[in-house]
Amino acid sequence: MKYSVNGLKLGLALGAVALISSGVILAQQGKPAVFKVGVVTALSGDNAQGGATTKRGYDLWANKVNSLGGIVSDGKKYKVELVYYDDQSSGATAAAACERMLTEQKFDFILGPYASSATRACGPIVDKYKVPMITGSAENPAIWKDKYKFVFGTIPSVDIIGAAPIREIAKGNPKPQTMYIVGLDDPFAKAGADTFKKLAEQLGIKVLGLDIVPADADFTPVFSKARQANADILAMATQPEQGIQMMKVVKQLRINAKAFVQHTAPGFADFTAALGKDAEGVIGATVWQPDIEYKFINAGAWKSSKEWFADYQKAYDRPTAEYTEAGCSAAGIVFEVAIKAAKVKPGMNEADRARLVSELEKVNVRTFYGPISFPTSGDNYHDNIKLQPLPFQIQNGRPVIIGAKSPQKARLIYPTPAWDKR
Amino acid sequence: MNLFLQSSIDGLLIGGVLIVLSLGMSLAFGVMRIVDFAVGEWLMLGAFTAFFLNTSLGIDPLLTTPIVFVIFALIGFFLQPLIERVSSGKRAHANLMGLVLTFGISQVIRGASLGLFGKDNHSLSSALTDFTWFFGPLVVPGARVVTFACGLVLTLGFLFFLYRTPLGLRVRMVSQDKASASLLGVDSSRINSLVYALHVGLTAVAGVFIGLLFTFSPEIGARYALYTFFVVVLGGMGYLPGAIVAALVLGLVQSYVTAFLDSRYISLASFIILYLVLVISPKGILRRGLV
Repeated sequence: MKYSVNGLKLGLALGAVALISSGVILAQQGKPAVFKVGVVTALSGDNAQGGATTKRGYDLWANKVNSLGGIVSDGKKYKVELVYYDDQSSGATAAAACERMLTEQKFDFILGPYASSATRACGPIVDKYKVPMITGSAENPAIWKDKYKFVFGTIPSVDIIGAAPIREIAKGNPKPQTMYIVGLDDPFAKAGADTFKKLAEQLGIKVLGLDIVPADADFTPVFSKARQANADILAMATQPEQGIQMMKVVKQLRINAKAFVQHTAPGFADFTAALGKDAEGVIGATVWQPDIEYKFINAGAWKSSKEWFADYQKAYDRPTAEYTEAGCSAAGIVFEVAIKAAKVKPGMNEADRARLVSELEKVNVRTFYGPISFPTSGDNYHDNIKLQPLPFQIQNGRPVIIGAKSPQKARLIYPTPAWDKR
Repeated sequence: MNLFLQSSIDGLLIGGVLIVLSLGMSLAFGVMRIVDFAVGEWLMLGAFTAFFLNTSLGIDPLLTTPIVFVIFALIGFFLQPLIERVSSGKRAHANLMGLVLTFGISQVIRGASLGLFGKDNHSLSSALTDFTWFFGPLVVPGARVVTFACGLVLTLGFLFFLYRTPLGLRVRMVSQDKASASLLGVDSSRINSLVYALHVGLTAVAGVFIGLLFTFSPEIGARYALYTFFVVVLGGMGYLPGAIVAALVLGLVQSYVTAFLDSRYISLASFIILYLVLVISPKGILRRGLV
């Protein structure tokens, strides 16, 4: 009798397992196909804040596409599913995360990291596994000189963007004669510092010093040197966090340069929030802002920057958006366009992905973020350089585009008022 | 010459903040024999507390330091028995267990802070520090002077407590020989709680200073934990005067390397000094630390 009770229990248990298993299998069979998208970016570590900008941009795109039924391919709609991998703000970890991502799971395509170092580390890996990746963030020109077949970018490199503020300041009256440059010791910022130096020399501005500093250093000694040099332009190539720290030190030391330039920190909302009136007058560069509107938009669900920004504010309740966030949403749009043209379905094989890359190379669209296409030769291989870099200046607590292309017709305030006259 | 003098000022002033940061940790190790991996997170939480007190109640960040100290000293006081329970007794590798526990605490605080505060950078700004002194070509920023002065006052107060009060005497007794102190009627558990409370409170106050001088986000903990470990080890584990000297040495090394060499060599120079000191004097820079 005891045996039969145990047997009954065992039978019931096995039956339950079988029922659940069959249910799971049926559920999986019935589950609609989705494009599985791997995203490797900085979710922790020094670049976590930058990583958060990429995540906001990618998520906004995925949510928008899914709310409209998904990506259209060969007459059908397929939703997208983003799976995040944390690169921990390290190039080496990014490479490991990319390798793990592509060996553990099957992804149709990848949305790339925030940092240039991480993007460059992922390049050889996505090429090895032949999975296309678009970054909406990385700006180091070296990425594109490496010519990775499967890597694309929606943002022009820093040597293009970073030049815009220097060109604008060079028009100042009196014309600036000297410049001091401080750059962070990371690939992106060093490329930015190089850009400042080359352009200054081209424009006849004498470079009095160039210091490369580690991100975790106290910047006071280096800015003490800069103060003693007394240059007309103090140019800083930084990441967002260090951009704020640098301006705090500049204020503490009362450095009264005629112009303060930073790439890329001033475009981030926390720059003005953290510095308050001490952010006034700082000059930066961008390729997009919420009040820039492009005409003849023919790709993506957003038909204007205003529409994108409305969705952005609804989702995140933030006062302003940074161009990286828009660039990341645009990266998703470009995949949409290429998938539609390649007529590929979720669960792509190697041939499908090769076709997708081929279509990406043919992309020539206008999005809310601006025109996008990818050169197939030269130093800007696969990097979208169609966007126009625009200088901006923090005026009345917000970044305002200055110069001839300014939607608000704003002008450069130059020289910047001294600290005791603000 | 001007650059040398300016670098010396910069180095000494930043050393003042490092002193506050490392004092509590040095004492906590001296008494509890525990390396607190959560030191960076206490600092980060101190900065955030000052930030919220400033934005919600309008209290100047510098004036929040007593409140921050009390809040975090209480947290430390009530948390310490848990750490003691894990890191003492007859369990195997008790000290290692304590180390793992504080590491776990740091991870929990960091994760929760990322969720609560987000990933944006923040900064503190005090009207009381918004001045700069000029001595010819030399510049002395008010924020640095004030934080250095506060650090100095805290350090002196701390040393006074330790070396001139009966309670301080009991703390030193427990630090030197816990068993003998217990035989003499000193409640070592209560002393441990008090020391950990001081450590957490002081570290949180150092966080306010860091927020005034730099930026902060939930991710900054590891960076400042590294500085703290460096100072505490260089100064001699558990030896407070050594930590003070080591903090000033680290500040000056950072400053001189940046001014006269290349700031990319700061870590290299700092760790060469640390290794040399440890090889020549394993008890730290003043040869009085615990080995």
